[in-house]
Amino acid sequence: MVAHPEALMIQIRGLSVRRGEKTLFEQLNVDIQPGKVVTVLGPNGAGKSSFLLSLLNLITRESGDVRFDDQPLPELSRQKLAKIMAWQGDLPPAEFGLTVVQRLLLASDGGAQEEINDALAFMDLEKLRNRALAELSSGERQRVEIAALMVQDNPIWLMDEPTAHLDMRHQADCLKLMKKEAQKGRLIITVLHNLQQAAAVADMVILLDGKAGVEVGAADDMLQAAKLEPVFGVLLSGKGRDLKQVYGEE
Amino acid sequence: MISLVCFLWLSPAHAQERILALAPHVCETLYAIGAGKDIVGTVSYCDFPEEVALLPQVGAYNRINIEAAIALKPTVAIVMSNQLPGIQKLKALGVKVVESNPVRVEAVFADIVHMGQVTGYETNARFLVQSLQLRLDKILSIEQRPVFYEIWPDPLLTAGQNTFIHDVLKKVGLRNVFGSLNQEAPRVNLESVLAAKPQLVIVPSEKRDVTQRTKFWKTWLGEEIKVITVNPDLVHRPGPRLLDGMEDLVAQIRGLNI
Amino acid sequence: MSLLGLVVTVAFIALGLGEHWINPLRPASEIESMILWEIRLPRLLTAFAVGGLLALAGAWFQVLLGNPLAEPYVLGVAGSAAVGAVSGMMLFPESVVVTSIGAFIGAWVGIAAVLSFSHLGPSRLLLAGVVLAALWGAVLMLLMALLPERGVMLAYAWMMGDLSNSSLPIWLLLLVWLFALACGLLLSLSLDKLLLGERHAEALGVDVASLRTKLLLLASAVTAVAVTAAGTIGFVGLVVPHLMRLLFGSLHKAVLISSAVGGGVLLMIADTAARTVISPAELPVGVLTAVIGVPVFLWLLIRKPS
Repeated sequence: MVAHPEALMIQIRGLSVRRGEKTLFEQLNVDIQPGKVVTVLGPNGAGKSSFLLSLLNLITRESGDVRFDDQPLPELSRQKLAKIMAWQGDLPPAEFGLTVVQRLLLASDGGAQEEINDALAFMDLEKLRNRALAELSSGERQRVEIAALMVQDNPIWLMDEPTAHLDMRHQADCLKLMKKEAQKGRLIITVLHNLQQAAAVADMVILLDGKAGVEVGAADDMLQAAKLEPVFGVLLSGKGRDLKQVYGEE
Repeated sequence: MISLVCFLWLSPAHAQERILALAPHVCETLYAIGAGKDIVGTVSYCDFPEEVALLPQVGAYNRINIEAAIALKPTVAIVMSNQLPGIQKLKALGVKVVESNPVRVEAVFADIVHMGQVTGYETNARFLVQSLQLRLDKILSIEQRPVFYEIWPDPLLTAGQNTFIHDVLKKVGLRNVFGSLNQEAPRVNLESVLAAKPQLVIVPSEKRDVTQRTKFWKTWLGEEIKVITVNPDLVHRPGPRLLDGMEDLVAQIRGLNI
Repeated sequence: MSLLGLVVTVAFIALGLGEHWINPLRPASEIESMILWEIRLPRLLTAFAVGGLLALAGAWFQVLLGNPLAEPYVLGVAGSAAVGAVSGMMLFPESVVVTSIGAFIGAWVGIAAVLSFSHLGPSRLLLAGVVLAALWGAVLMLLMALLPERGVMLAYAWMMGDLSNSSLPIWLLLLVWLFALACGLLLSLSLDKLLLGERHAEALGVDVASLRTKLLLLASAVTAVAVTAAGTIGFVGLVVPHLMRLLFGSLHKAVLISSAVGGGVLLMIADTAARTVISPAELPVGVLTAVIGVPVFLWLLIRKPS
């Protein structure tokens, strides 16, 4: 795998995103450096997925300014954006009989055979390489999507619930992958709904409270009961890397 | 045509019917037997003789407007098929319904007489049939010259065995090369026509360029092939002008020396 | 290039078959030669081109609508072409040219109607197409009710497909076949990405809106040409690309080439059967495409569960 991807910084000023009549969040300001893992947290419907899509220019921003290394988003063509960012979203449809290998070839534009083999090995997919996506379990398909990110080898990874459908072992592998890639200089922005997982990987947190409010900060500052309990309506203990949800009786 | 004038003179004493003539050949026959003045309604393609055009049309041979038909207060309806939608309704309202769909040349004569009986012009009908029979006897032939009858050029359609035209051809000494086929208007391909080796091709003058078709057939069947044309209104309609058509056909054949 | 071998074999056999067998390499007489080269060959070439075009259109409509069961006719283009053709028949019954012009115009009217809904996205586009097809069907029934008896029979004959007398010159059909395949191959990488859904395709750099429009125009133009030349022949657009995917995988380079050739071969076989099984009479080729296409498809499906 590439050791040092092109470093790219994201600058966001005054970003507001709307869905229909509702403003999801407004006035998001943040600078994100390469080599960081940023987790986007918030209740359902807060706009976390929409935030990622707005970076890709796949949904309309209400207002705001997004720059990649001083290049404004509107000036970047679709092809250029596809070279800068790799997106892992919901599982793509599988009616047409694409195989695992073919799906990865699409991510790499038909090349990078060696990278594809490496990614398959890493994500534990080698035995499934020629199987049709439709025949795989959702966990296996999720791993294919993550392998696709690896194959594309872009400086920025946008991940939307990457641990969904995965069993515990692969969830842990996924989190480890994120940390490893960040160390190599990749910029990773990930939506996670599991606070403990977020706590395990986050360097920075963007918190969308679901009421159009937004707060940004370093992980240690943001991952505290006082900040998060009112947003999620749950009981938490510990802070920073040790943040945990408290279950059980009142 | 002199005979026609004679018929019109013989006005029989009878209760006058109000007739719905629901097929082109029915119109022609009724006029030929003097019942033309009793017709109150016709259908599309009833175009002979000229006076027919003045009559109100209530539909097509396979589809009529019941209300329009009833409004004419008919007493008799002569149709091609009892299955015609709405005919049962007419029957229920007391209209006498008569079927007329002869598939053989002889059946035409019986049919003309039957129409005469139903409308009160039987005598005229029998006179007409007598003269038609005489004319038919003069041209009947047992020869079997192979012929290809082109019902339509594209797609290439011909006549099958249970059709009126098939019998007409047989009577004048022509053998329909596709007479073994059971369909009414089967689609055939050019190769089959070549293989059937007809001596004559008949192209009805309906809606096509006969010169072009003649050239076409000469290209494929050779310069020696004879191509003649007929007026479909004469040979497809099982009515009084049938013998005009058949005589013309026979005259053309004789003129060709095949 | 085993496909090429297949085409040549099928073509050879199809040329020989007919009212009686003629050896294409050694016709026994001048008449046999004429039959081979002026009756059978044009028909075969027409079948090849039209079959290939219908299969290509099918493959494109399937990726456009995100549904492997889509078909050139599912968006109503065949229905509107039939309306155009029958209208032409009504106005100028003697003229074959007018019928063809009517079919072509009709196809494009149908395409324009569909294009006006294209911004709705694949699943709603499909529904809009189905409704439009129903509309054209109703208009067609109205026209048929107004036609005289002979006209109805001819309208049905046109709709059931006729490869014996293509209203478009054969060199034009083959040219369009080549051109369509070339365009498709140029777009094949983007088409493959579109298989992942619109969002994923966009994230991978595809301008989906522009691709969708291009695809719709290309697929519709190809369908319009095929229908104008030979009437409405169904099943080829549905079965062939699907079959090719089962045999060769879903990536478009393979699918498009194999469909363009495979569709041609299928229609050559169907047409040969149409003109020989009840010889001397002929069956409409549309019936044969259904009779051949469906069992083959079922067999492949059962063999390779997917």
